[in-house]
Amino acid sequence: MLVDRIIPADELGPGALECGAANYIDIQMADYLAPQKDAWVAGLAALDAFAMETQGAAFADLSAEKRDAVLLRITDNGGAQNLQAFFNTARTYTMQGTFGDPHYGGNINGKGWDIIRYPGPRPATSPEMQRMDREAEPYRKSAWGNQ
Amino acid sequence: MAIPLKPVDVAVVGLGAAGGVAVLPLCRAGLKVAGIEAGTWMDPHKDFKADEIHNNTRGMITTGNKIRREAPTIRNSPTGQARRGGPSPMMNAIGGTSIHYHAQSWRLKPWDFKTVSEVTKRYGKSYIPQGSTVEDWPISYDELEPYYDIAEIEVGVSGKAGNIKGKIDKEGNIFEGPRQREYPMPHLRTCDYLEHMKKAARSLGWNPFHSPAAINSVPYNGHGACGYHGYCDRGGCHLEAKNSTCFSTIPKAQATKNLTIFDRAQVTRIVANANGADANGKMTGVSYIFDGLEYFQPAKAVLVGSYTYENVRLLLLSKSKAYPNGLGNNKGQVGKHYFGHWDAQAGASASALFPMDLNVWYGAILSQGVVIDEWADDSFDHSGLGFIGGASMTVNTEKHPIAAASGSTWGQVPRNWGSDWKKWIHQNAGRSASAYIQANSFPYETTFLDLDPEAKDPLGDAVIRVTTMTRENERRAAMYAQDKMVEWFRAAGAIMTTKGNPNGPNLSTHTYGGTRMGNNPDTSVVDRWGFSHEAPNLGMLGGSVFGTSGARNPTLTIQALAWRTAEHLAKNWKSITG
Repeated sequence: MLVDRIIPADELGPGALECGAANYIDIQMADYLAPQKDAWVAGLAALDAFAMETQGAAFADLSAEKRDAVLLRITDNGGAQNLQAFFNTARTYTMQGTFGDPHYGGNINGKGWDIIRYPGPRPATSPEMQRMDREAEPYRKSAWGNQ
Repeated sequence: MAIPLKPVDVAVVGLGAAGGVAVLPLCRAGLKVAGIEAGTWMDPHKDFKADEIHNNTRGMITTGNKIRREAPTIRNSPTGQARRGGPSPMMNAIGGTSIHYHAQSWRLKPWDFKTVSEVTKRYGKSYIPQGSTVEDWPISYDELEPYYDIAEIEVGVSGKAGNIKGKIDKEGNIFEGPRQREYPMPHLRTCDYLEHMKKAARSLGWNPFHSPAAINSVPYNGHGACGYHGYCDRGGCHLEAKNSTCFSTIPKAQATKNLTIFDRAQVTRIVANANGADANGKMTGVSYIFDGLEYFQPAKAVLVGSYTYENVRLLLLSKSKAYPNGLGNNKGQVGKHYFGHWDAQAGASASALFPMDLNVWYGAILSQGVVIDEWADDSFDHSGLGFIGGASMTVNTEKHPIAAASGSTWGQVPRNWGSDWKKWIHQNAGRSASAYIQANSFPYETTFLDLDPEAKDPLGDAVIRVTTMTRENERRAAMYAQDKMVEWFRAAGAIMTTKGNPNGPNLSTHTYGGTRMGNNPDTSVVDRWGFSHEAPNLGMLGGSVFGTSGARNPTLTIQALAWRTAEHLAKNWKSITG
């Protein structure tokens, strides 16, 4: 898995995987993102090839530490050029699947919004909810109604 | 053969921010109006959502297929190769761009209407930007004031006056031109962040005020007040508290029973009398396509209120014996004096990171905002500065979660993924702010619109080609404003700040000129009332008639001018159409 390295589960709480980002990508690849599916599949294959070359196994078969090492080669150390663009795309989808509306299959129960302390998509808000000295009560519903 | 329809008095092309306003005075005067719109009604309950993926990531409200197919091409020099510039700000829907705009509803300044004479008087002719084709408008602020007033009332604008008949009120914009009365609604509600920024501005000796907006701060026009939910940008209002014309002036025009709306009707040509010379080149109506069939709507007068690019395109495509180079273009002025606003899309920006939570998640984008106008227009001495104009600067609320999490980490963590980054966004995603900077912009010889020689829409009609270039005057004005904005953020306690590279040029959402208003037919397309110098029963509505941009959003000025043009038509019906 890739999304769980981009936003890992840690002492702060769930990461992208627990929030449903992988689910978002699966669902949207059969829907709105379908035109991007070939490029996405090719990117995953290229990532596997790079992981095989540098760590001796397909990306998903590596430990978290080794997957991080593969990604660091790409993002910090100027690894394969084609994988940099793929990583940026993967990160974009991970952000959408973690922080976007739950309507699209990610951000289950709005858990991703806790990561950045976003109060939630209320239909209307009170002045109290815009105070700088306190956070508004979390509201964790989809703008499209209950899921 | 086009299918002929029942004749009407006036055909209005486009029911957006401009046409959607013009229909009201026409209908109230008893004229029978056909409102012809390429899009259709949007449903506030089904289409408008507090959803960033829907509004922003996917642009479900702002971009439609027709717009993509008709998007202009752009090039950065008069000899360069034009390319498709991506989705343009055009819109197809009843309400048009007023559905998803930020609803900023500004009056231009008196200076904007007479920039050339004012600059020449104060600094000398050499201060007019080189290569600019800027002229004084044929009308003054005072002439437009009654129409600003009526647009504010009929559309519904909230705000705080800074100058009522010369009496200055520091709660409002002390630099504005004199108004005849207070806004019809008080300004939108404030919040801690805006109060914090106001205090910082006052510490610098500046005069902050709340921005004027076509959003209900209190119940108005039969609709409730704003909910400040934070999804105003590129979204429609599910509460109908944003006064898009589909919620304000269009329903009022429908109530007169004089407006017939033809939706999903794409106007392809404005038709001039075949015997042009005999009939003074008058318009006889418009042709449009609906469900693959061509219709002809006869009308005694035509008002064109599509977007700037489509206004120009329709004129250039509508060739006839009387107008071999396009409608009203016998002097070659259609498409000239075009310019985009020198704003965020030209790279003008400033951002800041604060050491505390700002809690600006909720709000109403620029409309729940505070503005500084000290460094706009001619509010300060430009002697020796090397530019004229300046920029307004707005700080605002409304922050979306994907964008907030994806934003800059200001170099404070080594990479934008992993646990360290996650900790950083947990603390800081809600602690950054940006400002909206809009510089006074002007037309130039090297910025213009024409028909692209290659790119066509699916009907085989050429799309518009935008020719634009970096402009030194506007770049300098934007740089100057960016420095002031950083000063403001620092005074408010920002620990990090950054500035943009306002080099432009790009497709701005605010575009001007192409059918400029003027007294001289050799340098303009429409007269002081918005009617063609050549075709007396053809009026133009929208940003395409502007001669300068001002340092602020254009829509209220578009609406005031649209009202004035429509009222002029109704009051002079016999002389214009007879």
